[in-house]
Amino acid sequence: MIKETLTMVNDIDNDRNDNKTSFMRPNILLTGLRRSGKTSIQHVIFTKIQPSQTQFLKSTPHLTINQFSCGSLINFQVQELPGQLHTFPSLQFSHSNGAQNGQSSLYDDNTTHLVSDGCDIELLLKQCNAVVYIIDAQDDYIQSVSNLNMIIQSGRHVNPRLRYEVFIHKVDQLSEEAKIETQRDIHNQVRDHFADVNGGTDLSPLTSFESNSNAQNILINFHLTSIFDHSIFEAFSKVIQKLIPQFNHLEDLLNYLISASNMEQAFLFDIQTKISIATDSSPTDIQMYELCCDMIDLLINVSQIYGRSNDNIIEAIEDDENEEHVASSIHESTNSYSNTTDEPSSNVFDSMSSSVIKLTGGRALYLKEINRHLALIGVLREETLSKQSIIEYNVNQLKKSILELFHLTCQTSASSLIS
Amino acid sequence: MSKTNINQHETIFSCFVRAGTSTLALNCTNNRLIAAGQQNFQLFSIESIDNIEQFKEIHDFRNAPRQPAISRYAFQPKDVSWNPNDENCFATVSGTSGYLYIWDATRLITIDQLNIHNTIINRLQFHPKHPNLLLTASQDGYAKLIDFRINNVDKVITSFRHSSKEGFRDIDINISNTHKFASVINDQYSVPIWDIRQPTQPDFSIVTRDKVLCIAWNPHEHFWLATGGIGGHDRTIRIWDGKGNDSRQEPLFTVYTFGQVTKLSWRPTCRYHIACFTRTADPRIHVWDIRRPYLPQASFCHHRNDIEDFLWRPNSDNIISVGRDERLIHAHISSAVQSEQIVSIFSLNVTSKGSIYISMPNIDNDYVRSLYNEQHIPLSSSNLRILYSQETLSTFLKWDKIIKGESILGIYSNTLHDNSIQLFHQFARRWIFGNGDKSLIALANICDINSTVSEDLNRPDLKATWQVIKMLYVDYDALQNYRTYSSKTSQSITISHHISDSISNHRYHYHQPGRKLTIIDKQRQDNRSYDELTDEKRIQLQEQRILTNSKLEMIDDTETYIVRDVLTDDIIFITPEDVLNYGNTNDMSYDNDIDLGLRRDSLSIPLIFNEPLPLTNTDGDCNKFSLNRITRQLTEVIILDDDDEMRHENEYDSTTGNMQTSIHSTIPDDSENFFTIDESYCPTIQKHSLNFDDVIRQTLWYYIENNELQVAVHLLLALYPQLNERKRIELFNGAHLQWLVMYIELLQKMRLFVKAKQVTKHCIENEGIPLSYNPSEFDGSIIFAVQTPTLKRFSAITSPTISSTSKNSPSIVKEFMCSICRIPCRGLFSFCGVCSHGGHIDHIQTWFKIHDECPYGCGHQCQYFDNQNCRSFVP
Repeated sequence: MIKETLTMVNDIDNDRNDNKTSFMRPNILLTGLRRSGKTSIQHVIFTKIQPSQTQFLKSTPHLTINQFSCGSLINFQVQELPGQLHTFPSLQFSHSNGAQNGQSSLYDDNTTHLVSDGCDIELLLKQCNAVVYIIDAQDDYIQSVSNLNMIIQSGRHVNPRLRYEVFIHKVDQLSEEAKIETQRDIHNQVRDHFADVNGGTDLSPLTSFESNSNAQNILINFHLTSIFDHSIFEAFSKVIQKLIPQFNHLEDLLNYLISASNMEQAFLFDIQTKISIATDSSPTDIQMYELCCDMIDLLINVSQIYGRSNDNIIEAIEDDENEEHVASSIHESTNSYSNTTDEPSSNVFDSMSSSVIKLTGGRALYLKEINRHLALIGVLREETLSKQSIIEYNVNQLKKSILELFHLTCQTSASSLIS
Repeated sequence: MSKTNINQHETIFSCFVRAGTSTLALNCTNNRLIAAGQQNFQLFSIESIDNIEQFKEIHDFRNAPRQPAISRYAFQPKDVSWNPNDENCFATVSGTSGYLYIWDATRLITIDQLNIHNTIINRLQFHPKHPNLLLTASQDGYAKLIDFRINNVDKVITSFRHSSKEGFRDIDINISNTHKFASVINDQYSVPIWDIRQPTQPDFSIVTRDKVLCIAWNPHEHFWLATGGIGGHDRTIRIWDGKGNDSRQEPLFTVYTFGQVTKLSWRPTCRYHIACFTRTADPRIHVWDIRRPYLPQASFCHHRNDIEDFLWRPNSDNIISVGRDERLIHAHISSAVQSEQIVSIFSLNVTSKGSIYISMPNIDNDYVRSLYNEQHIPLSSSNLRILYSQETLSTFLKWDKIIKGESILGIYSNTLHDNSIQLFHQFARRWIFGNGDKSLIALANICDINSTVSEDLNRPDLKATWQVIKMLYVDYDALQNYRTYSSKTSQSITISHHISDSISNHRYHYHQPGRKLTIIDKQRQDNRSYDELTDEKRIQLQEQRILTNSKLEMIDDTETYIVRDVLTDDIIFITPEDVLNYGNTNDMSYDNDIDLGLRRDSLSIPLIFNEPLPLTNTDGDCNKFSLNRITRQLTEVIILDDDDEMRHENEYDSTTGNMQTSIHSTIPDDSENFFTIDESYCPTIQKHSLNFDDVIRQTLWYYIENNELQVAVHLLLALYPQLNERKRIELFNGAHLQWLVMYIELLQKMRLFVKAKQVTKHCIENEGIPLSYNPSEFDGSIIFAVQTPTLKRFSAITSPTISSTSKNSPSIVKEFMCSICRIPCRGLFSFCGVCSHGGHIDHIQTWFKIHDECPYGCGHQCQYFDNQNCRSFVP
């Protein structure tokens, strides 16, 4: 049933405007100058190639569109706009390109399509929900920043609510001071540019309210990233989190969980990509994020060695799917969702997957499966683990709620699209 | 429930609270305290019982019967705030929903609950002046101002929303200008300052360098805003000018803390002091003087586990803190550890090559000059501890800038390496190896004599070695207290700074520029890089002069040094003053050793080092100060065995005092701060006996590998009675016998036949060393037959001496094997003067047409020695 819904969404994609599809499939425009690392980022996050292998990647010549879905709960689409294409013809191409973009989404996930060379930046900006702009921090970034300014400039007109996420990339070679200085410098350059545009008002783009209330606010966030550590995952998590419509509800759920189970922090991770799709509202830091990523790796690796593959179980449930089971049953919903994924998820991660790791310093990490693609990771004090059964009960409740939440959004979005 | 203990100054009192307490709040009359958190909601009173202030639990909200209308989430407060104008009214926010609860502390009930936010409220604050206004900061992206006088449902009068639509993490209303408040927005690199009357947009934003978690306005300097980061990188507290004249400003002050700052609070009684605790596991609250950002002023070390929250009691120096150890502690700042009392300022590193690295604070800076100009402290007291001390800083309020923490790195190196044969002769003649007396006193005598000889012969490094040996073995009892590490065996020039707790006597350095100290005015410490390479040349130039002037006499009285670290190549002493006034210490005689030893005994306290008090009598107050400190603080010192695990920690140093701190500079590692304090403040006493065997082994091997066979053998002979057979085997694996044989050979080659005989006799008769040859065979002959493969390694050792003196070699050579054809040579043959390998002339010539190395395979580059070194003999 859910599968059908999704295909329906895809069908509708073709002939509908992107307004509604964006609800299901947030659209991220990934761009930056050439050789800044756009393709590498995608490959490292979504196809799990080793960061060291990315230097052999060819530069991408055309606009490519990749669609990803984290266990069908979170879908999004990444459009990669190569840096070479800085010819941005104005609106006369928009019709043809629009049609082609529409057609391209006919094809299934994770496939790469060619789009004609003339890219209409304005159309792209209009269609997407967030712009991820990559700046190579090891290179001279003046050109890159001016390019970014141009994109922001055109984006302000066509899509004022667009988010700009600037990844100051390849910072692994920089010292801590250099990182901060680079970020500050780029930040200032962008800010100065728009301070001038705004007529010299002394406002940063971050906080730039113009005097009238309906002016466009430029939403820019800066992230220091590198594919050689977890910072790229963390930064991408932040981007995704802002695009997920259910994020606020997930955050609330996690808040309730940590309050009821006496946890310190809780994360919801996509196992495949190690993107955290939600956290509770307490401040997080990169160290905790790294710990969680490592924990996922550990769990998957150990289960792959000692775990039992459950392919046959999936098939069994696939057969049952015809009987129109309501997705509230955890097991079945879990597995039925997994059908619609783009990539084969780790076939050892199932409803029995859970793990507890005790750290030095009295902390412990608690991992529990939510569905075949999502895992909950809680950071808690070791003494809290004495009441593990309570935690497990709470996590099961959370699991139910999360699945219901996604089920509900699937239904409502489908119905809204059909109507 | 409450337990108290009384300090002579201020009371430290504590009591247990429930687990899971994460926030504290004190009411305006200073007598009610809320301790709340995920699992706790307790109300305490602070009252005097028998003139002792104590905590007393008044009410536990979680155990009380619950009002039916209140959800249980009300009893998990995330934040608590008292009304500053009503001592019985406080507000809490729920940790899970957007509810705000107003409580009455006398009736202990909720008087109001408001659902004003969609999700969790991160912070709330009552308006400092206006009793009916309350500001909340919520994760849902709104900050709301609430007026209790309004009668509609949610009582909100103004909502603030940041353009990024991110949640508000923290807020703080400026005390002087209560219309202004600063806010922390999630994931933003700026701190917007808002005006309460103008909700549409912030007044301006301070662009911070990293993401910010917490903020605090200074109660004295009304526009100083402190920010603490959590961006994943930042460990600093930055102080900004919150007036907003320049939105892209540099921070006024930057403090490098030990971790990501979780909470900040200005000290009420001093405008320059700010307290914080960090997110990483650290059971201390640090109080920083923002002008002196490299070392905390004081550290509250009362908790045994991570700090959860703390607050200053208004207008006092008392801190109330709660930690994960479930204790609520009230402590005065005098009970905190004053880091300046326990850190060391100087570092000295002496290498065996005679190079000395010192680092010391540079007091020639604006701060000190202004101190003198203002005559804030008398000119006579130039003690560094006084200059930078808390007392001085807290009274010298005119200074409101950052004190640039600069240090001087001085490098003195001994380039006068005299490898002449005369030196070898001298040492051979004058060094003694005892008369068979196995007592320690004899060893001490040997060490003293030998070190004097070394000094006469301008080898301070060897002298130091002898003194170290003496300290290690003879002064063993006194040395119980020395903390010695064996360090890693890196052969690189050690730049690690072993900083000793000491008293500075700066005037010597400061007023005597003629000393030609090599001064590298380093870059500022926060740059943390010593440009040694670029400065190398300058040093080289200067050190020549230094050496000729001073002859490195500063390694004089080793009793005033501490053995910090015996590296294989670096023997480290710590001296406080001598570096600076080494000119004075030239005359220091060894009689001082006894004095110092006696004093040490009479005090019966372990000294890590002795200040040479009689010698620095030019600065009286300094001496008094030091003595006071010693007697006051020295109770126990940690002894650590020099086993391998310590090698990885050799940047840590112990210092005097009952608090063990370690300071390491930032050169070898990439730690952020110039000074950092070891995690372990609490002393752990380990009663391991000291074991210097490994040190000795490394030292000897070092000398062997560096062509100092003579030193090694003399050390070995002197120490022979102290090492039993098993230990010798263990340490040297029999190689020491080879060394002895080679040394005897060498002596004979040098025509020091008497000495050779003496050594042989000493070995065999006094020590019973089984030398592997009959001494009668060696009369005036070189034993080429002793070309055992095990000797190969050491044959290069004697190179400089043999090569220059081989013309003295006697002519009687027993069978000389050709290295190439392995047939004994008869007639003319050729051999290398250095490695003693050779063979038939034609063989050797053919060989060296192709090769550079010794044909025997010993690895010596015989070809590099020109013809004069290759000699031919007719047997």
